[in-house]
This record gives sequence, C-alpha cells and structure tokens, in this order.
Amino acid sequence: MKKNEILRIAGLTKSYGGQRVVDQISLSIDRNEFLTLLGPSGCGKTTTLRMVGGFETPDSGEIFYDNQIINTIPPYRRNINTVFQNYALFPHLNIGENIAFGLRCSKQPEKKIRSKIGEMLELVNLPGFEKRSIASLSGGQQQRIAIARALVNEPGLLLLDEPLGALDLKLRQGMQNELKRIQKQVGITFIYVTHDQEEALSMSDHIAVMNGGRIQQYGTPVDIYNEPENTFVADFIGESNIIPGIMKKDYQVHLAGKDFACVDRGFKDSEEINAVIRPEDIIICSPEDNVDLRGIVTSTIFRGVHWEMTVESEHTTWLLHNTVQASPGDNIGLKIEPDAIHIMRKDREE
Amino acid sequence: MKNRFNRYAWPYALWTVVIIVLPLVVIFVFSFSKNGSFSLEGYGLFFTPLYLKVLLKSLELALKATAICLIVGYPIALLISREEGTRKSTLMLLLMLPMWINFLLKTYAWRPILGNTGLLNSFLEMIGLDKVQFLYTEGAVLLGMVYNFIPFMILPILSVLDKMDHKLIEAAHDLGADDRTVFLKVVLPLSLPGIISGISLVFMPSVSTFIIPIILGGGQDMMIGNLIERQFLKVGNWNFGSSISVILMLVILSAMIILSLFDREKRGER
Amino acid sequence: MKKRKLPHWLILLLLIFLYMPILVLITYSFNEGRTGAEWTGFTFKWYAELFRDRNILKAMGYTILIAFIASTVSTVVGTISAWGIKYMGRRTSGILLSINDLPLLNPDLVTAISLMSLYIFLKMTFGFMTLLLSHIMFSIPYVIITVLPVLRRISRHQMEAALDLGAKPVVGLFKIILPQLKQSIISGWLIAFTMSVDDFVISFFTTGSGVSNISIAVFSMARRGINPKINALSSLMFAVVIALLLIINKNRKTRKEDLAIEENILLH
Ligand SMILES: Nc1ncnc2c1ncn2[C@@H]1O[C@H](COP(=O)(O)OP(=O)(O)O)[C@@H](O)[C@H]1O
Ligand SMILES: [Mg+2]
Repeated sequence: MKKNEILRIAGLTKSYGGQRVVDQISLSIDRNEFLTLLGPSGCGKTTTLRMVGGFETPDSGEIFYDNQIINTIPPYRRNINTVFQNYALFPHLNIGENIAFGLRCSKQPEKKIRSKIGEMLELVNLPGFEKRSIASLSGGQQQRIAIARALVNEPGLLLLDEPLGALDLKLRQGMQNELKRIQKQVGITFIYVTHDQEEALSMSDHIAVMNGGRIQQYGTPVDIYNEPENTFVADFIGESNIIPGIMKKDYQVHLAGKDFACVDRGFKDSEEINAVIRPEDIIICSPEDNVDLRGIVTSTIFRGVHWEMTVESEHTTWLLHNTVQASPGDNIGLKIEPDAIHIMRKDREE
Repeated sequence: MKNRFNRYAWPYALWTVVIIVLPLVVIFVFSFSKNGSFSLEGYGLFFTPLYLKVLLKSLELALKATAICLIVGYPIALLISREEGTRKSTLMLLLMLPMWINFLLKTYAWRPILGNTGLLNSFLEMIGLDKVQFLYTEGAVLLGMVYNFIPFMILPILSVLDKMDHKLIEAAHDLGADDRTVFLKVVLPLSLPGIISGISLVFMPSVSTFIIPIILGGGQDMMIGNLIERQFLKVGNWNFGSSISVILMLVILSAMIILSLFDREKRGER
Repeated sequence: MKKRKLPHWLILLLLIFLYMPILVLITYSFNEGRTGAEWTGFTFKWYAELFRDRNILKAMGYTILIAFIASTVSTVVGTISAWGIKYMGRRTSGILLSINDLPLLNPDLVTAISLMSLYIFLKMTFGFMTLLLSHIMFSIPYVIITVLPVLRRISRHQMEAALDLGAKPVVGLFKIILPQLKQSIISGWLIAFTMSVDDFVISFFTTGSGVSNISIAVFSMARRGINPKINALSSLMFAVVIALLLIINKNRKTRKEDLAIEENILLH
C-alpha cells in the first residue's frame, strides 16, 4: 500500500437493469493529485464518481478512503465533496448562504462562517458577492460558487463532474487555468470527469481513459498521447492514423504495402499489429524526392493553426496536419520517421 | 436514490384504489344487481321512452350550451388574446373571478332577474308589455349553463392562442395570405386543442348537472342528473340509479373519445 | 395595433353578463322588500337575520371546519405523495396520476354517487366523517397537481448536494426542498380550501344526520324560493372570495404566476 494514497478503488462494478455500466474498475489516487476520468458520454464516468461520492452503492468492489472501506457510508458522513454537473446551487439561498450551508450543517460558530465565506469568495475571485442571488450570476460565476461551496468543508477529495460542460469555449479555457490554480492553492485531491480530451490532457496529473465501463488506459497525459495502448485510446485521444500491419522483426514493420523502420520490439515475428501514426508526424515532400510513399491529395480544410488534408496512397488513406497547404489533386510524397510510428498489439476484442 | 423515496407515494396509491377506483367498481356492480343477485332491470328500465327522452333532452341541452359557449367564446378569446399588458391580465382575472364564486349562488342569482315578479318582467311591464314566463323553462336552464360554464370555454382557447407563435401569422401574411385565410388556415387549426378542451370542459358539467334544472328549470326529472339524484336520495333504488350513472359515464366517455379522435387526427396531419 | 380606450364591446357585454346577476343579488341584499323587483328602501336586516339563523351559523361552522381539516390533511398527504411520485418509475407514476385525475375529470355528480355507493357498501353512517373523507378525497388531487410540477422542476441534485455538504436527509428536506416548495404548498392548501368551501354536489350526497355546509343550507333554502337571506349570504361570500383572492395575489410574486397555476388546474 502506498503511503501517500488517499483513495483506492478495487474491482468496482455497477449495473442498471442488468447492464453493466461500471465494470471492474480499479484505481489508486494520491494526495494532491489531479486525476481525470476521460471517456465518451455514457461510458460510466458519472456513475463511478457517484459511487465515490456516496450517491450510488456499488454492486461489488470496494472503495477505500484513507484506508477505510466507505462503500455504505452515506454522503453526509464522507469527507468528500462534489461539484455537480449543473452546479445544483440552492436557488432560495443567496451566495453567502450557499457557501455557508456545509458549515451550518456542522454547526460552526457564526464568526467562523462569516470569515470562511469571505475567504472562499476570495479564492474563487468573486469577493463581495455574499448578498447576491444565484439567479443574478452568469454561468461562469455559478461555476465558481459551486466550487467555493464544495471546498468550504475542506474535503480531502473533491469530485468534479464535467464542471465546465455548460460554459462556452472561451470561458472554458479561462476556467481550466483557474481550476488548476485553485487546486494548487488549496492542495486538495481532485477527481475530474470530462469527455473533452484537450481539457484532460492540459489539466491532469494522471488520466484514466474509460470506455464501456472499463478503464482502457491509465497514465500521464504524455504517456496516453504518445503511447496509446489500444485503438480506442489512440482514436479517442487526438486524431490518428490507425493502420493494420505486420511486425516483420524487431524494429521493422510492414504497413501500407511497404516496410518501415520503427522503434518498437518484443513482438512475435509476423505478428499482426496496429500502427498509430499521428497526422502531424507525417512529413510532406516533393514526390520526386526519396520518399516512403506517394499519394494524391483528395481534400484540404483550413483548421486555423494548420491545414487538415486527406491523402490517398496506393493502399491507404492518410490524415495529415501541416502548416503548409497542398491542394486537392496535387501529387505529393510522404515521409514517416521511425519514432513517429507507434506499434500496438491487436485489441483482444477484435 | 430512486428506490428509497418512491415508497412515500404507496400509501396514497392504496388510498386512491380504495376511494377512487373501488367506488366506481361498486357503482358498476350495483348497476347489475337487484336484491343481491344479477339483474339487468336497471338498464331495462332506462331504455323505455320515458327515460330515453330525458337522456335525449340532456344531450340536447348540453350540446346547445356547448355550441353557444363556443360561438360566443371563441371571438372573445381571440379579442382578449390581442390585448396586452395589465389590461389583458385584468380581463383574464375578471374572467376567472366568477369561477371562484359558489356555483349554487351564481345559479340562484338569476332567479330575482328571471322570476315572475323579477327584474326582467318588471322592466317589460314598465314599457307596457305582457309578462313572460322566463323562470322554469328550458331556456332558463340553457342560460344557467352558458352563464356558469362559458369561462371554461374561453380560457383554454385563450391559453392556446397566447402560446401560439406570432411569427407563424406574420409568416402567413408574408406569404401573401389575407386576414381571412390566415384565420382559417393558421389560427383556427392551431387553436383546435384549446377548442377541444373547452368543449369537454363545457359539455361534461352541462350534461351531468342537476342543480341548474332544479333551481332554474323547476322540473322534476328534466335531465339525467336529476334522475340519478332522485333515485339515490329520494327513491332509494340504487340499482336503477347506478345503471343511469353508468350510462352517464358512458356518454361522457364516448364524448371524450370522439374529441380525442379529433385531436389526434389533427395532430397526425401535421 | 392601435390602443383603444375600452375593450371591444363584445368583451364588455360578456363582463356585464357575468357580473350583472351577482351585482343584482348584492343590491337586493340591502333591499327592504322581501320579494319583487321594486326598491323599497335600504336595510341591513337580512344580514342581521342571517346571523341569527342557527342553521346557517352551524353550517358556516361546519364549512370552515371541514375545509380547514380537509385542506390541511390533503396538503400534508398530497405533498408527501408528490415527493414519492417524483421518484416513481414513469409507468407507475403515470398510472397513479391518471387515477389521481379521475376526480378532477369526472363530473362531480359521478364522484358524489360513487362515494355514496362506497359508504353504503361499507355500511358507514353518513355524517361528519363521510363528509370529511369525501372532501379529503377530492382535495388531494388538487394539491398533487399543484405541488408535483414544481417538485419535478427541483433537480435531484439539490438533495444530493445537501447530503454532500453534510446535511442529513431530514435537514436536506427542511432546509433545501421544502423552502423551494413553500409557494406551491401554500397555493395547494388555498386551492383545496377553496374547493372544499365551494363544494356542493359531493357534500350533498355524502353527508347525513344534520351535518350540512353552507352550500347545502343555501340549496335547501333556494329550492323553496326566493329568500333575501340568501342574497345577504351571497354578498358576504362574494366579499370573502375577493378578499381571499387579494391575499393569494399578494402572496404570490406576480399575477402571471397566479394565473398560470389556476390555468394549470382548470385546463389540466
Ligand atoms: N440511474 C440510472 N438508471 C439506469 N441507467 C443509468 C442510470 N444512471 C446511468 N445509467 C446508464 O449508465 C450508463 C453510464 O452513465 P453515466 O455514468 O452517466 O455515463 P457518463 O457520465 O460517462 O456519460 C448510461 O448508459 C446511462 O444511461
Ligand atoms: Mg456524466
């Protein structure tokens, strides 16, 4: 058992009407960590979070908080707080009283409550908002109040279920930095749920990618991006070219009708594999050069920072990101460096 | 969470079975039993010319009242829906206020007006005309129905008209429709749900009333409601009373079904 | 659209039609003469007689008592049941709500005789208890359809947020849920109270042994002919209704909301 561990989940399972929504999930989270559960909508993220929060009881598996099993402890006795998806602010209470609610439940003295409210509003950058009503706040401000309300009890663990989901893009980016700052400042462990991979990559210490109620991959953002363990993760995190191929021998792979040098080894000879090649890692050059592949550009879309192109080669269609534009109909050459190729074993299910 | 709180509704569910469903079952059973054994006597009795005439009279009066309420109520709803601001809400309040006044008193209020020595006849006398028998006529009963139930026609229509998207009308005008066409092709079809709910809200209490015939009609067995009241409270023939009640419920049920067919047809078209 | 000074003549005509009989009644309640249309002088004597009439006073007492108990009981039961219905599955709650609608949709007469038949079937003695039961029976549905929509609009996360912040379920109920329901619970009570005070048909069929409410007393007088005491009583009740409506209006934030709730009940 790790010394710094605050939460451990072991074999957590939950079904609704015979359908397994969360399937044998195991995770360990350290103090002060920012962990993100990332996955498409309906994959069981919220259900997992709700079991940790105490709003659902697991069918099987254990949840340890500070090394104590908390499976059946009601939410009001857990030192864990939640920022709900739609904030769930109390509309009949003003902002100060919303924040004070947790403190009033534990019968704190009035003076302490007053100073705590001020402190929390300071923390979320809304000083002097005590007397305002919930209805008078913008979405972003409600979001901050929800965080302040949840943090006032000084929980060991804060659960956030798609907290930025209702905000528009610009605001969302600002709030990402804000959340990160708050987390550093209060030094509380965050479990963060999102379906937005960019959000997950930019904020988290660790990410657990989920699909179909299972954890597909657990790791740091860099690991997950660079070394996806299966096609689901490769596909879900960023855009990828996923190309079936055969491992000839160590450091050599056959795909798209050609042999390529790569940096992977340890596969059986002639094992069937999938190769992941990120669109930005494919180099465009003139077809007359000494190139790996030649192809015809079939479409070009401007994406702001880069151009997104599809290129048809003899055996495969490629997705490319490049700051240089090629026009549809152009003949171009493609080059792929060995370290741009990431080899994955074929997924068991396939 | 789901499973923990729904149990709070179960006592009420049980209560509704005992006090809402069971009584209807009891009526049904009563209507088929005489002195403890199965009998069709109640129904047999009803389908004699004497009682059938009462049924027809009830239907006739209720339909007339509904028609008058619709013909008068629709234009008024249309007019009110075009009002704005406080005046509109004041008008609506004025329309609703009488609904909060005791039904009996509202009906009774017509007697000093319609009576033989009442306001209307005094007026006729004053201008040198002969007295007219207003009270204790079918006309008086009809008047009572319209008076009591017309707000129930206006309000649902008004509510539908209010919710109607004004842009639809503008769009129709934009496409070259004149006022008449807009009304016939846009406003009227869209307000149909309000009309239907208005019709049922007027027809049902009208066909089943027994107070209005007693207070303004003066007749003994003018309408089906009076028959039921008499069988239950005076004669004590529960079998016959229950049979008539079941027939009344069937009448109302068929009215509802016919109306809902109308509604569905209209919706299916769109 | 031009703004006219007065509403359309058709609307005015309707308002005259709706209010004239009531105004006539109120006028006559101050008329010296017993019958007839002539004005024979101003008097308060009918009001005085009204308050000397033991039967009417007793009926008033019963009306208020029954209305108070029935509306209070149905508000409590209806609110708790609405809470349960919120958490029922869609099928079950659908069935329960359809049954709940029956007394609102059925004509009063049908509800009345069905209750009467039930009491006969159960061999109950007609009187105060049967009357009270009946009033509770038809009041609860009004409370439920007033409270439930508001309750359903309260996200289940509200309760969860309260629990999350350390409130026990009871505390969550009293501090978070009930305050948000307060307005609709009060409306539900007032509607139930009004419906109970106003009811004639169901009371008429389900009471017995000398227990009668105002409506029944009025009916037995009205049936016999014109009686100026009824005029006085009507005027009083009209005044009470207007006073109540003013209170309700004050109680609610906007008149719009008030109309919306009434509409919801009417057009249900
Ligand atoms: N209370 C519930 N009853 C039945 N099914 C549920 C319930 N909660 C969630 N589900 C189902 O479980 C699956 C996972 O839901 P959820 O955990 O909310 O996913 P996510 O948060 O990843 O979008 C979904 O298919 C959803 O329909
Ligand atoms: Mg979710």
